[in-house]
Amino acid sequence: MNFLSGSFSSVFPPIPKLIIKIKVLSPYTLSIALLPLIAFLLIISGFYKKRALTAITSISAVGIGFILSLVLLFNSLSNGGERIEQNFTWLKAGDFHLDVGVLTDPLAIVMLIVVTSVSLLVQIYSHGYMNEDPGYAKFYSYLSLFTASMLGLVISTNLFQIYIFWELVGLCSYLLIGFWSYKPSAAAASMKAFIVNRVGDCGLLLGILLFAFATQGMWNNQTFLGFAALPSIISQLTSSNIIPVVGVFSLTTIALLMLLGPMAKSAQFPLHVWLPDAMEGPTPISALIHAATMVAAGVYLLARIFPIYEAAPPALVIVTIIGAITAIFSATIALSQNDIKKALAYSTCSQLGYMVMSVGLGNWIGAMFHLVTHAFFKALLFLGSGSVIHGCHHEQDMNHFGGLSKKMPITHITFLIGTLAISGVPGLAGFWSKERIIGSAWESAAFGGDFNWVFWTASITAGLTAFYMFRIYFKTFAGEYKGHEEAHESPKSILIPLIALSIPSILIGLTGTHLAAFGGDLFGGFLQKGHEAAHTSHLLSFGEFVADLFKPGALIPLTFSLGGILLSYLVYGQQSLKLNEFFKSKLAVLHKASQNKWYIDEIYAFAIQKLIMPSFVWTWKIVDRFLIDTGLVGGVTQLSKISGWIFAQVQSGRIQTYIGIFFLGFIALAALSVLGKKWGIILGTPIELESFIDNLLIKNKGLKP
Amino acid sequence: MFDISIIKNLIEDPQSFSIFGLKGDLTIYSDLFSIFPELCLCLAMFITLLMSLNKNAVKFAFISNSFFSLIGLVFCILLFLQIGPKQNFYSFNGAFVLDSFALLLKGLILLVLLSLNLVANFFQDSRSSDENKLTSRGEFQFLLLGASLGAIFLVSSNDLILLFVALETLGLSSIALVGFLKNDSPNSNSLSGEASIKYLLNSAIASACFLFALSLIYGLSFGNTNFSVFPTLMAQAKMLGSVAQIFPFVIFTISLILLVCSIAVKLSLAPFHFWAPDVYNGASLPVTTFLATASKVAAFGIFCRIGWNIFSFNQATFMLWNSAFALLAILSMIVGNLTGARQIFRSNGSIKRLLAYSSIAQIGYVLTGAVLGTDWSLGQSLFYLIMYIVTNLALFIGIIKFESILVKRDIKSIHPDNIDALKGLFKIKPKLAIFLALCLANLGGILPFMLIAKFILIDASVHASLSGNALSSVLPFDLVTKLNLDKIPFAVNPWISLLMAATLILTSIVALFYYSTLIKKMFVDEPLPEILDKAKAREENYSFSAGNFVGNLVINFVCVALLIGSISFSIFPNFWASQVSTFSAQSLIVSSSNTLDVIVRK
Repeated sequence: MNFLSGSFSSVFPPIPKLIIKIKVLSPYTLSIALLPLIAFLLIISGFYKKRALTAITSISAVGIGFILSLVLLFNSLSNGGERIEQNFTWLKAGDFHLDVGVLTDPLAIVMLIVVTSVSLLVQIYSHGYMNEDPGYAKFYSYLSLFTASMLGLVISTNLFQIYIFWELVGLCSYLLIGFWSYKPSAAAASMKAFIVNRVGDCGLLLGILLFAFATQGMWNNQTFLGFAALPSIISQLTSSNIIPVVGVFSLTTIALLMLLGPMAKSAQFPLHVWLPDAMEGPTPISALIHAATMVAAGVYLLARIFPIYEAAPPALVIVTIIGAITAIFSATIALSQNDIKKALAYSTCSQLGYMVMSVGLGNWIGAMFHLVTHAFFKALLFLGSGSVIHGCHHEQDMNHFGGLSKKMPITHITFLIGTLAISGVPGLAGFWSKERIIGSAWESAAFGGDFNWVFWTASITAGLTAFYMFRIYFKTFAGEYKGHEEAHESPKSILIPLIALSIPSILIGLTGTHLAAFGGDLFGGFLQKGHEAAHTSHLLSFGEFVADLFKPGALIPLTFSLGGILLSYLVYGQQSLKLNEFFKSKLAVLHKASQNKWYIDEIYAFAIQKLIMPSFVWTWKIVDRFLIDTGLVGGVTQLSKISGWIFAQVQSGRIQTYIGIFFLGFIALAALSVLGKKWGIILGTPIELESFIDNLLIKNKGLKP
Repeated sequence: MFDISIIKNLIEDPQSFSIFGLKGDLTIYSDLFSIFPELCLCLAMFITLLMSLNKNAVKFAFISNSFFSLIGLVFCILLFLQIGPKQNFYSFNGAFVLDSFALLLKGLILLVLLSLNLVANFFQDSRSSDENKLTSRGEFQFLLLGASLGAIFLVSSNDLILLFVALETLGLSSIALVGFLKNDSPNSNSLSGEASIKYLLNSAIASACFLFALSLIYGLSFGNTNFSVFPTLMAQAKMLGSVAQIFPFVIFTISLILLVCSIAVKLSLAPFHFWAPDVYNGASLPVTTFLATASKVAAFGIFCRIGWNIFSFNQATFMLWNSAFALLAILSMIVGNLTGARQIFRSNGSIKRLLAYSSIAQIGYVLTGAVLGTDWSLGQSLFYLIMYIVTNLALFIGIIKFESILVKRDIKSIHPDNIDALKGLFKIKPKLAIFLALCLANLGGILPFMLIAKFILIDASVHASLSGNALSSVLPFDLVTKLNLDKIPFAVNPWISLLMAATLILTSIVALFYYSTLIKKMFVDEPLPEILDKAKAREENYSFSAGNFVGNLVINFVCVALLIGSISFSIFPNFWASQVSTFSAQSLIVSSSNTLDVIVRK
């Protein structure tokens, strides 16, 4: 598989020697990202008159991408996770150069597989779901653009490039949340998502710029801000004390500013507010962008720039705290939501909290593993909920569902698989990935080892997750149907992706176990291959594994999960336990707070309307209205009006004037040649004859090396 | 197999030429091979003259013209890819030089010619009748080819005589082209004729200055006309040890100033720019396009050749040369942009005048890098020039299409050149509106394309001012060491280069104002009632005609190709800025200093 190494000469015959050497990028990886872009361009160019052709273009582009990703995966497995990176200088000005490139390493390949596979299934699903929508072609064009941007983000080689795609996926998210922009709620939600992400992106950009400033002159021949050189640059930074670890201008500041980006994109507290509202978009979008791929970009970025965090322990602690707060906080909100998609959205927040927490604990591989498993089962759950919504005529309130298990059998079974997976039932995907994260919390020395608060938070969240997920399941599929219109099973194009997604939801977790039967920690081993630190995977036999399960670090979260399921069954399945009524009557404050999302939106609204806006009204009046509008814009207009009038007086149309001015110009230039030296305008005048022949040589003319 | 290195071998080593197994000594033809694109144009000119004997045949002359200019263009591109940084080919006893700088500019000029050949055939000026289309007369195409021939000779002339002859070929053909419509407009007081006379007078004075300067230089260099001789002369002067006696610098300075003035007229730099708006306004649109693009490229070519070949032997003269152009560039940016913005405020603002002022300002931008006097900064300028020419050409062709539409629909209530005619274009011709908006935004530096080029130019001039320690007295720390800058001796005062960067940034705001106003007129405003009615009527009884179809297809193809070209600059800016442009600029330095041995070899 040598041709996959991206060497140009082995793919194509050598071209005649050109003076201009073009470095060609790894063609396979690049084409994965380019195909959806081409599909996007084809769709928006408006050639397609038929809907089916739009879908086929878009689906086949991402489908080929998926196959190519698999090829890359097998190639990488066979050659030991080789890291292939090809860059070309995009912009060069003086010594400063920005590179753009293609990165093919295990981390990127894992993300390529996730993004292409989920995107493929969601695009197939969309054909059924969006079939009657007038914006069908527009929807597919956006989907393709999003897929292209997300794949571009994944294969970026440096922070500068990743920022471009970071903004592009943000834009696509905005476009797709507001897809039904005629709905005021959708328009508002898209705006909210965009603005909240702006806060995060601002921090990320500042962090990148600060980092670029701190490390300038250190990159030499390597890609500027590149991920490949990151560990060595960080070790240089810390060893030579160029900037301190803690302080105002320090590595911690950089890490925390950069954290703002992932916080907004991955919906971490307190920038999580946009994600639940983002459910105003079509359900396939919720599955693809706001559950499986884009929101995970934050975690991906954290994993990529983990060396920075590793060198700044205070930042790592803050990452953990934010992740843990988000995990439990969102879980408590999800307990009482009645809108099926909102409940799932808060569940996404909570799971993303797990991932961020895991990065904070230093276990970025665990975070990536949970990202992968979560992508599959959460996409399954969202698509399942979409199937339910489609079958129940666009009803989203769970109080109008119930008893759908008979009417929608396939949706029911696949949804149950997703619910079991996310709840952490042993054997399914979610169990393995959660166990890794909670295990690292248990072992975390930074938080005091066994029984630390992070561990308890994570365990309780696991219990809450199981409880609210089964609440959704029972309210939707068990009991009697409470809807008004007749529910029906969805078409095949919706059901096929559900079935396809339920397979990885069960099995994908087995790649990351320590069980000898499944070949040990394949996932962790694969990701670690690209890194210097050798990963020693300790293999466990089945007996040892079961024995491990009964140690408190594993037993407590498992008990919580299974307890949550049991409680949920009693409350919503059997309806024997009236816990719900108990909360509503006795602990109304808590119930209301949960249902109203802990009033975070209200707090923001109050803070912005009552505190921030009034205090900045003068800034607006002075800077914006006066300085910019009246001064700058109005000033430029007035200036060009007046001076344009003056110049136009000379432009009389009379040739005599023109020629007169020609001679005035000549005299002025002649005067300049004499007086230039005196006024210091020209550093030398022709009358001085020193050293004039030596300047003939090229070096004195300043040939830039 | 055909190998593109054949072209190089043909010129480099004609003695052992072989193709398809045939071998032969082609030494006697090697001079002719080096002017291959020029010969192509000559051939096209003769064919056009022959075809114009027949009224029907002349309609197809544009095909042969396009074909020959395409061949010339392909030759330039292939040779550009083959030629090395120190491989300048001299022919005709060193009077003619073929280096990558010349090839780059030739390529640009031929691109303009090719596009105009394709487009002009389908253009109908509002002032000429249907039978009297520009291209239905062979003379128009003949003159256009003649002007281009002069331009491409100009950029590779290495000799004062050839330089002047080529300049006059370009100038006289252009004057005739500008006055081409003088009989066609009995009602509009013959703008075309007036423009032609203005251009003639201005050109005459510029040429007189130019010729006078050349005669002074000729006298000073003991009757040598070849550029390559100047370094030799200086070497001899140093050996003799009495430079002042050999080279009276006062006379030399006078010739320098005269050359600055006359080249400034050709480049239409303020305050020598006054002819430009009147001439642009009076000429027909394809001619305006030619003057705003190809003619500028050729003038930029003379600026570089003369500056780097004649005046670069001495730092003092080189500084004076570049400083003079730097000050003119600053003035051009200010005057061009501020006067251009005035067209927006006027009720009968003219698109052509606006574009004329815009091109005055843009040439100011182009010079920003070139006057710094290093190969690297000249490369940045060349990059901007390539981008500007391609974008401006696309914009002009868009305007040509727009005016043709108005003329064909017989709009009476407004002159097609009026800015207000653009109002509401998006509602009538959405694709054309988007295309024009992209070009305008590109020129204004909104979209990434030109933004990068401008950024590079600003970087070059700020770099020059920083490494010249302009700010060292103001700043508390030493920026040069802090930013790790190379201390390069730039050819202008660091404060002037800082002023240039500041002017570039500030006047770009004004430019943005008028470019975006045009975009606003196209997208936000309502179309004029007559234009809207005609558009509706046309939709109702649309008749398909083959002539229109081919014309539209050709124009659309050219537009899209140019747009894709300018987008490619933004995707690979480094390729164009560092590789192509700087590479070409380096060849200029080589030609100015290393030519001695070449001459000896000849």
